[in-house]
Amino acid sequence: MKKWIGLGLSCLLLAGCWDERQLKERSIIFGAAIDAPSKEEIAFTVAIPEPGNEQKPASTKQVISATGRTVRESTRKIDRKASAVVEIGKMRVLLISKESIQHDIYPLLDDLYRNARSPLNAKIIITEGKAEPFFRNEIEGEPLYSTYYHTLIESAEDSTMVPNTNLQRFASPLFDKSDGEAAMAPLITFNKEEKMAEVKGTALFNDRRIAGELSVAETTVLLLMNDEKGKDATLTFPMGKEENMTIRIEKMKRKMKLHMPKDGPASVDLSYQLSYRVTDYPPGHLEEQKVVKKVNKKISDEIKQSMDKTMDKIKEAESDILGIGLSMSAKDPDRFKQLKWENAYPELNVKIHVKAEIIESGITF
Amino acid sequence: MKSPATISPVQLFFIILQTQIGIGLISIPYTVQEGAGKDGWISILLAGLFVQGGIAVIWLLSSRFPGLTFYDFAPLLVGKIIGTVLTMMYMLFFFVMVCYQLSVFLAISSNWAFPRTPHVVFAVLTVAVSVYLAKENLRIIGRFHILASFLLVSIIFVLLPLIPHFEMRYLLPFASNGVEDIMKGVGKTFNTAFAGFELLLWLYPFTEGSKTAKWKAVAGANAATSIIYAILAFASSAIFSPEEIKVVPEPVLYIIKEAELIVVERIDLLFLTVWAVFVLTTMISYLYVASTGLTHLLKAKEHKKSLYVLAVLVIPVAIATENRMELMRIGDKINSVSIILLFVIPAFLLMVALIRKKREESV
Repeated sequence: MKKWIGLGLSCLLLAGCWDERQLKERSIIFGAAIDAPSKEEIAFTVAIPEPGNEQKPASTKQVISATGRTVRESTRKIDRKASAVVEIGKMRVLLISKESIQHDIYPLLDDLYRNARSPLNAKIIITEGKAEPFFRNEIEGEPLYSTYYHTLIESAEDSTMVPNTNLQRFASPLFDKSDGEAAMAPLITFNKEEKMAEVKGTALFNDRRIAGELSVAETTVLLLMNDEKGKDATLTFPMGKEENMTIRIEKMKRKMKLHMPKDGPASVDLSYQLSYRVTDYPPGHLEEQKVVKKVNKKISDEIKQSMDKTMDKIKEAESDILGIGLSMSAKDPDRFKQLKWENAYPELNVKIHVKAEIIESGITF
Repeated sequence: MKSPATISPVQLFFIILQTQIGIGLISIPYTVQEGAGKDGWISILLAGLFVQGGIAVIWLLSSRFPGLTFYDFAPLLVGKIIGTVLTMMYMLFFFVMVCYQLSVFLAISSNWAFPRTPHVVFAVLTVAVSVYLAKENLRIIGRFHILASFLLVSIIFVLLPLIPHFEMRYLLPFASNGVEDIMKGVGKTFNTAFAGFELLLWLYPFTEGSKTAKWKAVAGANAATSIIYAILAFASSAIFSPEEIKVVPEPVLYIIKEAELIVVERIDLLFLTVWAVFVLTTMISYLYVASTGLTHLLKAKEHKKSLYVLAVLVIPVAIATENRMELMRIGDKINSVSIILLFVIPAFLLMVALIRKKREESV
């Protein structure tokens, strides 16, 4: 009997009343947006959801913005307006406008990295234009905006349209200026007429600021170059007169060969071996060996060309997405330091070789 | 003085393992990178090897006195006065280790999950649970430590989903930071990571089985600890870039925070509770040996009373500082002292025993 009394009493100790956070006193947010037109003003916007029931699906109840000098100050100001304390622990997406990252993105994220409660697996998304309207504007058929943006990005990741990233993985390249790797994040835009957001491509970073953009097609090529194929990757190429072919990349192998001579500039050979399925090609005739050979040759050339173009773009942006510098420093750290990567990278000689092979021209999924 | 309860070599293995794995588990990759940078995991393996040497010394020493604990045989080797001083030193060291473990535990748990809960609440709860087990005999402690060891599997389990995101290029080329840096990393590991193997000096007489079985248990425990730590350090360096890890004092929690199992989020909070058990086991072991030391000094019969005294003293010392920076400085100091207590003194005593040809039979 004594044992049971002791057991009962010690259960009281487990309550932990100091740190209780009651659901009714908190508003849990799934999405937030940051606009920072200057260093001194950071506007933070949160979308407070309303739980759904059987009659009505979950929807966005309120969108609240506030401006402060730091992200934390802005969130505190939001708390002054909101009926309950805003809880960011469950955040799924963070939208940041392109304008706010012209100089430095890190100050906007610092609070999130420090806060033990913050969700490091939230998706980071760069917006074309101000980020706040992405939560203010109505989206047709999607009452819960934050979830919409999250699934939008997740499905784009699966089809290799945007890089698969989150707050934590995004941060790793930001810390060292010349370590030979760069961050990238999905870029979206809002189409007011269609009342829809749209994935526009990727924002490229040089150190901590935005340095360039890629379209969706270029991003797919870049991700393939970086051996980061999602579940699905399709490319469309012109095949002569008014004809186009859409292919789906099945398997891919990449080989990176680094040349770092003691004297003289470094160079890289990138060889890709890939197999693909044809999903769209009206002229057909892909059962003949001769045609297949021709198509393979043509596709290899087309892929190589788009890879070359994409490579030029990221070199122009001084954004070492492929981590070539990182590979070089892994191979020979001393020589890498001598190279002065910031200057060497835009001038880097990258040779790309592609060998594509058709594996299926009939049934496709 | 002799406790009737004995432990099996398997229980010895788990007691040593659980004593070694404590607060260091979640911060060890950060601790070693301060010296060795990305080669921290090599430092850990080297430190593990180094500790194997320390274990061999202790084992040789203890096996000369198979029926006696350190408290009993130290006076035989170096005389009563120095023997008593040594007993006090070790007792104090264990006491300080308990306090330090508790302080760091409180600091980290309040940072990560319970910012508003007063430290004293957790301190009392933790100490109460530790005392509840430490007042029992070794066999019961050993059983609990085995039970707690099942939780070790969870470490590997939470790391699995992160493997696709490893960036091996952060780690290459291996050992490029040079021998000096790697040795610096080795030097930082002892108090939070590897301390615990010295318990063999006290557990030896209570363990059943042959001489070699005992050695195998302790050496095996230390090898297991080193491997677990090395895996964690490797994973942390493969996820955080070398500059980034410098601002992440608890890398293991951070990498787990990013992981997401299909329906469960924030695994770091779950892992925090698992880690709390590892801290508890360490505190239990140390409280046990510290209290037997005090019992020995006071020539009392049971260790329960001295345990209660120590437990009451632990709480004010542990909550005295909540400042993380200061705790780190204190940790560095304990680390320097622990090298003397874990390696130098046992080696010295072994030399004395060899020169004076002292064995248990001969006295």
